[in-house]
Amino acid sequence: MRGGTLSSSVAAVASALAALSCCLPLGPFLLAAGSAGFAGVFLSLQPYLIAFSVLMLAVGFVQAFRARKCGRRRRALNIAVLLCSTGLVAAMLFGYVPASAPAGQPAVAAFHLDSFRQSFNAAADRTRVVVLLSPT
Amino acid sequence: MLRDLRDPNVRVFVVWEPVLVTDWHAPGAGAVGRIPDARVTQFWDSPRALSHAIRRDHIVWDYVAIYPSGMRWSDAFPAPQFSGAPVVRVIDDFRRQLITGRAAASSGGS
Repeated sequence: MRGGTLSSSVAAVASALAALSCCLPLGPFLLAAGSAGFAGVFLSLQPYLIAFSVLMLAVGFVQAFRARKCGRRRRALNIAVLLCSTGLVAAMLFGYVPASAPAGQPAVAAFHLDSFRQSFNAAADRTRVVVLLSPT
Repeated sequence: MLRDLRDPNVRVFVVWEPVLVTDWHAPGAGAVGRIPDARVTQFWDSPRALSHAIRRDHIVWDYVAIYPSGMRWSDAFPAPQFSGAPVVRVIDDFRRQLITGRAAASSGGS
């Protein structure tokens, strides 16, 4: 968690610096990546942060399109960073959608303590196994 | 493990929760697909509510617990008949407890 926060903070600072630099629209890309890192820390804010990432990517695309006066090298760098950011945000979007459950199982549901308690008690006529796991 | 135990009177709740730095999203198809048994229900617990309900002082994860039939959850989360972590270390004891418990329940019910 600490690493994610640090990288997000670094991304935020770097994006601010990048925003000041001429002809290099790194700011939105780094902001997009930065908010992606924050999503790991503030899971409850994840939908908003992902939306922010997408918005920043859109701004990045617009800036990249406008930055035609830049040299070829700069443009190549812009496009490379843009593609990396797009890949990162796309991975996040796909990751945010829970995978469908295997055949025969109910859909993977968001956990709610009260409904889980009901399910747990509803199966009181059987032996129950509870497993807590990390996805990675 | 569940393949070995064909008893239909077992219900399994698999609760995925974010613990590691890399757990910034719900479990993917690879994780969920590792438990294909029809007796299983899987959840994504992003606020780690169940972990807090079991223990408040630290994160409960890589954890397995057995609750015998008849045990109900009223106020506090009930104490399990068997529990352990990490799963890889307790899997043999878990298997033994589950099979023994089911055998006792079946013979008691008949």
